[in-house]
Amino acid sequence: MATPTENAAASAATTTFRGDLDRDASAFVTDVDLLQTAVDRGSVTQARSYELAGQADYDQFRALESGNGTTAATLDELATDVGADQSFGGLHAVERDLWSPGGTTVEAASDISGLVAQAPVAEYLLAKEVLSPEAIGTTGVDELGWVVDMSIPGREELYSHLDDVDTTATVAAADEAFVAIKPLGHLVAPAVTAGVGASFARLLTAVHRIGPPGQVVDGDVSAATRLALSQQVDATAAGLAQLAARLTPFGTSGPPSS
Amino acid sequence: MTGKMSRRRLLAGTGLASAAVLAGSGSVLAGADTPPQDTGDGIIAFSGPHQAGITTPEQQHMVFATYDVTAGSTAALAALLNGWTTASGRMTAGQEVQGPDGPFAPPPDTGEAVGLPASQLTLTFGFGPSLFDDRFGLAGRRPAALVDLPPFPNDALEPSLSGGDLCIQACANDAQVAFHAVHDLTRLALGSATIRYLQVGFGRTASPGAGQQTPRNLLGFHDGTANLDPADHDAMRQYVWIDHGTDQPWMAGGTYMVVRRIRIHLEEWDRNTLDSQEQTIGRVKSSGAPLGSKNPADPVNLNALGAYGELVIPNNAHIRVASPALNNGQAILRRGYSFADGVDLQSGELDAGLFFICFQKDPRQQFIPIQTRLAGNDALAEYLLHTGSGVFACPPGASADRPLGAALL
Repeated sequence: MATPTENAAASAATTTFRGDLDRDASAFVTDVDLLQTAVDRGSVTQARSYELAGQADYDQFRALESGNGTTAATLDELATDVGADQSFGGLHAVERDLWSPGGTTVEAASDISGLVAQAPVAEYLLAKEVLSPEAIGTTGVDELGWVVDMSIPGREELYSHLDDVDTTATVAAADEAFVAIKPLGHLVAPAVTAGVGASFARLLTAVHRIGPPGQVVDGDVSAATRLALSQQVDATAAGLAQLAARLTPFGTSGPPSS
Repeated sequence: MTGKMSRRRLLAGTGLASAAVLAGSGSVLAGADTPPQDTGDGIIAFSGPHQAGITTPEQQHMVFATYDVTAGSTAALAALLNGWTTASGRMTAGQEVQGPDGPFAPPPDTGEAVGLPASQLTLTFGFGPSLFDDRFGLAGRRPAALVDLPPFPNDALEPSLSGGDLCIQACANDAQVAFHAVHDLTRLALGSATIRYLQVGFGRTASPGAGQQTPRNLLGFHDGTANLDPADHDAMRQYVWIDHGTDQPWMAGGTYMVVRRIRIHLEEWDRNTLDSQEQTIGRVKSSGAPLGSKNPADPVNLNALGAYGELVIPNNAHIRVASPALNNGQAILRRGYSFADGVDLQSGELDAGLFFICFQKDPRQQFIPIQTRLAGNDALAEYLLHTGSGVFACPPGASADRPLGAALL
């Protein structure tokens, strides 16, 4: 039986993460609007800057939003997400327009409309997400898994080759999830929580060592650095998964499927 | 023979089973100088005076892995080794690492061995020289015999296939059981150690144990005919097991493992004539008998001369150069496995060969001089490329009250 203190911490975790999502979604809408303004002005430099910012904002809630078939396709589609002869949309279409050799804002102008239209929709949908502490932890685990699969190998930003933006933002998002559940974790699983905290500290340090996000080209990140980073991400994710499992008495993302 | 008891049945039995396996009580505890043996149910107990997987009759599959320790304290390293001890006791008994932990937790066991017999799984652990640096205060506990191997002629060692603070040799008669063990032990190490390399091996390239037909290696020759017999306790005491007179008492009952990933230029070997192949090895390819003899088990007569006074077994033949008679009577217990890792994209040739493993009392007196002689004189050497290397101190057998590394840490 959970104590009143634990129940209060569980409730606080949900509230904290709810606030994080609101802030992240709002920042995304703002940066997409600024991106459109820069494109309208014809400023490639400014447009690139806001595209990167928008990408980092999106990374903050990717794990929750990417399951939505309607918005995900217009927000962050990759060429590999569609058939060989089909066009793709979202941030990566704009990225292609802005970073391809000779890229201008002319092409970006036509690709940005769906993004601008769907960003507020995503914000609206995210506002409905009310996650239990276990689900918050699992969200962080999912985010870390994506980092190993996509951003560390340089498979996400195929035109700007600035995947460090995604790595930094997504690890920060996972840490945000951990921070939300940490007070509850300290009450119900102090040793596990302390271990995850230490692991996140090492991970954030390792990410910081890569360099300022948006200024380090993928090719400049050594294989040894990628390996060490992947290993630290995996170790952190394993611990976070264990912590999330310990929080199931305070609610789950749904009933077990079998 | 593979046992019939499945992991699921064992798990459904009683939780006491694992305690018995680790405690080494009753029938699973081997004699004072006898490593764990198959008790007839496909299970080779993890506990015992010596680690299993050294003089154990060689299984058909091997997964070998090394690790770099990232744990920040001696206590964290000890916790890793304790966890490995417990998990190893369960897995070698055909059990899962741990029972299910509910639908919202990652399964404590990865599950691919559920329903499979124990399959004579053995897990053998070793400590590399790099563990004895200043991270854990172990510099003073490093055995004198745990030396860094010197460079040998024709070495082409890749750092990514060499070294490591820790090693695990998993052997079983089911490839999936062997992989499962390393898979779970690697997962248990997350946050404490990172895997450095992993090598999968197959077949039996040496034949420790009476009653096994000497298998053939990828060269097509019988291999292991002259290997030490692990059932010969006197030989094991003389060449393999470290006694109490060692400089580091925590190694008493242990041994030293040397591993070498040896790529064989098979395409080059395959186009050699039969006569040339036999002259290179010093044995008849079909029978395995030493040149000039009829039976594989015939003693190797290094002095035999042919019709024109020439040596029957050439001066640079592999079995001559490797012979204990020419190595100050020294011998090693070989326990290697073949490997095939696909195609070398640079040459289009097979990346295959021998993952050589041997055990001995002292690499300085055994492997190093033997390999020095081989590398410089062996006719076979021109077909071989050593791409990986490692030396590890294998402590004595562990048990529930004496986990891996307990005497060291």
